[in-house]
Amino acid sequence: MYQHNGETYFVVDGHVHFWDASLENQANEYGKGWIECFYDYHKNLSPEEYLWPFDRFQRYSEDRMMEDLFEKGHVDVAIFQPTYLREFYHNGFNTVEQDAVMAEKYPDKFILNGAFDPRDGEAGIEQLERDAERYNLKGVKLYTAEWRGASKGWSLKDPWTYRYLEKCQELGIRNIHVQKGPTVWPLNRDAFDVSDVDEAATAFPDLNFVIEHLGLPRLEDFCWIAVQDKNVYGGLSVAIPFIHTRPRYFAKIMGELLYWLGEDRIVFGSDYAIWEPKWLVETFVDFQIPEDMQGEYGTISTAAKKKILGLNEARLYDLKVPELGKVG
Amino acid sequence: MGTATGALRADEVREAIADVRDPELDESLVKLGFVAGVDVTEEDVTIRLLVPTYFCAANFTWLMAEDLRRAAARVAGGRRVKVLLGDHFVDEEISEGVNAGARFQEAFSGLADDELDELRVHFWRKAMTARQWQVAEALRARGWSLEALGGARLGDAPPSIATSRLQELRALLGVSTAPDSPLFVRPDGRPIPVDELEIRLEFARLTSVSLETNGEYCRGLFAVRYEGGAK
Repeated sequence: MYQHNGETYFVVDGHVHFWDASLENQANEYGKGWIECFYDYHKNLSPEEYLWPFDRFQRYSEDRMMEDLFEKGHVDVAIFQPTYLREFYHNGFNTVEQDAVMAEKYPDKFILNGAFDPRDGEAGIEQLERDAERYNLKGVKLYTAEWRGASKGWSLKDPWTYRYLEKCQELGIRNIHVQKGPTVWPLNRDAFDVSDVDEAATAFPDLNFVIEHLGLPRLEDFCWIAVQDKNVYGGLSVAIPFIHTRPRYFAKIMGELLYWLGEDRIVFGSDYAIWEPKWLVETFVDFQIPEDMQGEYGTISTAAKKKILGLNEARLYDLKVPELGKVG
Repeated sequence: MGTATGALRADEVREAIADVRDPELDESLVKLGFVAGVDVTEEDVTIRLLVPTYFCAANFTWLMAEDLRRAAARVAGGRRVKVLLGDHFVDEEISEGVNAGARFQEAFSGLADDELDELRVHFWRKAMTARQWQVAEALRARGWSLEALGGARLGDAPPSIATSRLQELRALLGVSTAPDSPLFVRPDGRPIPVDELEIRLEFARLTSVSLETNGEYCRGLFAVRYEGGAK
């Protein structure tokens, strides 16, 4: 837990990876392009003292991850969000199997989320059942832009997706993390469009839909959906690193989220190893909406920060939260 | 083709493409720095285009390339106009398709089921919404109440970059640009009823924040990729 100025924060990092983008695992130029793109995100918004060399960024060790998250990084519990990308990486980029190695070794530290792809049809439903049993899944991460042969993506509106979501409900998988990416078929539409989440969230009111990265670059569409569907949440990863070099932009995003969603439906995530949780948590706890913007957006309270950093996600995943009384 | 008429300088081409915009951000490609070079010879005008990431959406990137080519063609004096996209996952497909004057669907056979016109209109509407917020802010700063804004006409908008872009977008979308037409309209161009104005303006603010934030993200990534660092 992070203690600062007499306050204690229970921190759930809702978006972490244990990926393998090493040269040996890259299947083609897309795998190379993918990790280079991630590295540009890392360089764009990380403070200088948190910049990694590229070789470590491609493949980091278990020890390194444990240190960055739990020893230095103030994180109490971290949630693995797999991203398969089997067309780009021989063994996948960040699969449930890879994450499970860590999650099974440190069961108190990690929550392991699964994944499904509706294009797997009946066989995928059976796999989901096996994964749910083996890993006691409470959540899945869906990446609709995943390539597969000629297919460059899928939609939450697909009839098969509904069958998978029904299965999730039956298996007690309540948290559906949705990530949008740039390569969805058909290419002529807006690939980042989050409107398919709207339909699914309405059709499955007992499931929680956490839109990762706030649906960026479609913040406005995401907020609009979240206003309609109370079971839609916003994952802060990718947006929160603005807090360091572009705090006024971050303040605007935060102000909009507090206005449209409120403090109970925003959840923290670092997207480790793109960014390290240590500086994100510390900077966020010290953050306030700048004075000249408070007329528009108000302020953010300590209680709200505690919810966003951990308590909201703890609620979604039934985590035991220690007493967060004031210290000292 | 082939016989160029008259001399042409690269800066004239730059001038001709100065207002070609990133369709998502509604910002000038030249100002964003995405136009990496313009070369003019007796026979060709070549524009080099770079984008912030390897995986920037193919459809938006196509629109940028196509719009650059069209704008340059207006001053090319019969020269062949080529746009060369680089460092992108489908850079060859886009360059070849656009330079051959192909339709998007032909270049991405099997991966697209229609053309990009609808997408373009979708983003003009977003941009128009965002500009309405900026104009409303300018009027509020001059003491206009929400009630007064409900009756505002296009001609009431104070001269500014936001106002002139708003006029351009309205023209592109077929929304009236007459000074006495309603200033605040829905994305489909119909006037906003007074009882909806507050929430619609708040949503316009959100849209403006979204465009600004995306622009800042893209500039940062582009700087990291090509200019040796963002800060």
